[in-house]
Amino acid sequence: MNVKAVVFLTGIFLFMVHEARASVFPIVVDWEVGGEWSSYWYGEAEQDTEAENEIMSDNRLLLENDISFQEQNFFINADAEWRFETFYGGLEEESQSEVRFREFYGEWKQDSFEVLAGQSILTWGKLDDLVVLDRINPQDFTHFILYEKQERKDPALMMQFEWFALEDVQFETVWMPVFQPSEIDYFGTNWAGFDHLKETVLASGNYTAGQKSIVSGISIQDDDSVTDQSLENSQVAMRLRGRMSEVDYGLYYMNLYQSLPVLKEENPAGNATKRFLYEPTLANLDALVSASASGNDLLLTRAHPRVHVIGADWETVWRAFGLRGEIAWTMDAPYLRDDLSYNEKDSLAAGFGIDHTTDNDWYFDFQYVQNYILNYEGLYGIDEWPTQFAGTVSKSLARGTWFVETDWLWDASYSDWMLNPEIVYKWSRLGVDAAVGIFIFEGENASTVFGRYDNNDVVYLRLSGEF
Amino acid sequence: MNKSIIYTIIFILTIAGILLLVLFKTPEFLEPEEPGLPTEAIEETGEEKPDVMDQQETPAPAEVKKPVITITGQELAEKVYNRDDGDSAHSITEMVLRDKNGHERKRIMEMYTKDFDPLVRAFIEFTDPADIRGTRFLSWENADEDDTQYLYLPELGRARRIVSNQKKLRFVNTDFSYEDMERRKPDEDKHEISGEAVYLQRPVFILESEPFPDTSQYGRRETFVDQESLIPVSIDFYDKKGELIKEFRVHELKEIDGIWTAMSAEMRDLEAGHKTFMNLKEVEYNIDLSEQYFELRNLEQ
Repeated sequence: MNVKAVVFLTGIFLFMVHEARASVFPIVVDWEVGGEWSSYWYGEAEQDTEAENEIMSDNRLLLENDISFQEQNFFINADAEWRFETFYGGLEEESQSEVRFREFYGEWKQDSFEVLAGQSILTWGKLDDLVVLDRINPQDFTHFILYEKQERKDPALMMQFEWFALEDVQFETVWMPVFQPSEIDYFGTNWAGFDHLKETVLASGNYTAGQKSIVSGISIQDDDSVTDQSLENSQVAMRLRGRMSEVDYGLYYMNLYQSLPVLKEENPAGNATKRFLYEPTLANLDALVSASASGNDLLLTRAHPRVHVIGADWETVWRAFGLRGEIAWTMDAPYLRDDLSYNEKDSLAAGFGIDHTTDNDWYFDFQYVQNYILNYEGLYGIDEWPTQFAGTVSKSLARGTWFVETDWLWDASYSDWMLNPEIVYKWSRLGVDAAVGIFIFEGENASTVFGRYDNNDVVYLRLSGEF
Repeated sequence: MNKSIIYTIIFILTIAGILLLVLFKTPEFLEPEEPGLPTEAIEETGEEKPDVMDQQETPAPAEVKKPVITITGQELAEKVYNRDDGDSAHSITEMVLRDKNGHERKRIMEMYTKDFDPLVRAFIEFTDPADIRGTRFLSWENADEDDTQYLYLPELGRARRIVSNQKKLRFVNTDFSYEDMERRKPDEDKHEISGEAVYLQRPVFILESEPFPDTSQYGRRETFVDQESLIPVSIDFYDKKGELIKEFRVHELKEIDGIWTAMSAEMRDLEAGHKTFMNLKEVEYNIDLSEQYFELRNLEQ
């Protein structure tokens, strides 16, 4: 029986039990059913290649069940999600559909401790958009950053134990039995790491058979040793949270796999393959052809090294400002050298955030993260001192009927940036929001994060609601 | 028919079904209800449903008497502050926001409060409409400092410490500011009893309060304090130029478990022509509430 059928039948079963719960359960059960839906329609601002999809839709329906066994202090959260996407324009028009459980866990709460087991999403750290410590869950980057961090998170299988040791001190430990990498496409979509490179070369008459053969031979594989459903790949993280006077603080240790992969070569010739992928020029392709690249030369592996993270966060308020920060020392994080060979290095990161709401309801949020790569040597697309800024400016109008917001990200080290203005109308009677917005990506070259998507500016329309 | 079209049709039909369900589950869809005014009052008069603001009993000048009481304004303010509102309480309140064009939006909030002598802690959760469902708010009074407040937003996924000294900001887009929602300490104002009157057929004191500098957004408040229950049943808010900017009116008082309670009230923003009605749907006092209700763990549950 496939996963879709299991999810569907479970949904039907839960619905029937919900309707008949008075007779099924002799104990007190409080069962809330709700959900949310959204329909995004993205239009490319300009079709740069014939392979690029002009219009994409991404539609989701999430059904949420919160079941409380009050007397037993036991709670079940079961969310099922149906998502389908359609792609129009480009070389291939297609659609894909997925049904899956999202969060699905049981939780037992006692006075001094709580235990959670199942598939869940946690939020660690204090910064909103930039990541220093919020690393428990993998993220879905198949749409790059069109969705906010919290929406990008995929639930992970885990057991979480929280111990409320003192009134102001809490200890928390998380054990994840298997490793689940972040989702990222490398080929075949507008948001894939190497977008439509393969289809474009293979469909074009401007390339020789030898060049096409090389390109079609390039493949990217998982590292089975870490993605195996084996307890050897379990991960652990712990955090101590507390409050001193008017400051909240947290101390962290994480022993996790790096969820966002870095491409690792099978042999030194693989670096030329990477060079062509990151900088898809004819010269770089010809270098592969003249080297007669084949087999493992064209095979790259998604590397997810085990990293150790030691960190801390804090949050307080000062006058009319919310202040927060995070620091982390990450050991053995993956990078690419200038020659694109795989490498691991330690890094330090410190982040700071401030937010303020004015008396007339303008909201400002500003975040800054400074990284430092230890034992730096020339790294591809990464400086020794990478600096990132992010922010949000928003305002609700007509008592929340209209909402305008602009999010932005700026990688100061590489002069690339993203801007996302949006306007939302809230139709409160039906619980429906209608939004229009635009994502603008700018960067000087393809080696930077936003530079890679310089040609992917999109306008979007979103309809969404909760029930 | 290709798969994209089939999926799109199924999705649209599903969402249309959900929207119809939402619409039909909204009581106003079948029978519009005037917020704020108790149903029985409408039935008794048999008249066309009036705006509840027209129902307020603003005392005539002749009814105003010179104070014959012996307590001072400061003492009255302290009695109001310390009046019996239970050691703990749980309530469900419907808030109806109505703009000057008559368009309405509703919010339903569930609130728990508990005395941590002499201070109070409060936990609020919004349960409706769906777009703010799950938003939670935790507030701890501090003796000599601003309150400690946390906000949990589902889209943020964590509790966030928030600024509590921006009292002028609107509470979830209603006509109540954060200052209006707080218990104002008696020693933050200079108080004087200026007279007596009748409101809701009950005798009230008229208490004039002038905030000490930098403690309030307002320049002056004129409060009608119900003499029996010590509940402020009517407040006129003046700005620092002396102009009347907001009006608060209680429409119904009721004794529940021996504790006087404002069952329905409204706040009117005179400048914006916007009103917020608050109707208490359920309330219970002196219940067994664990201190855990008022901790961060409850906010992030």
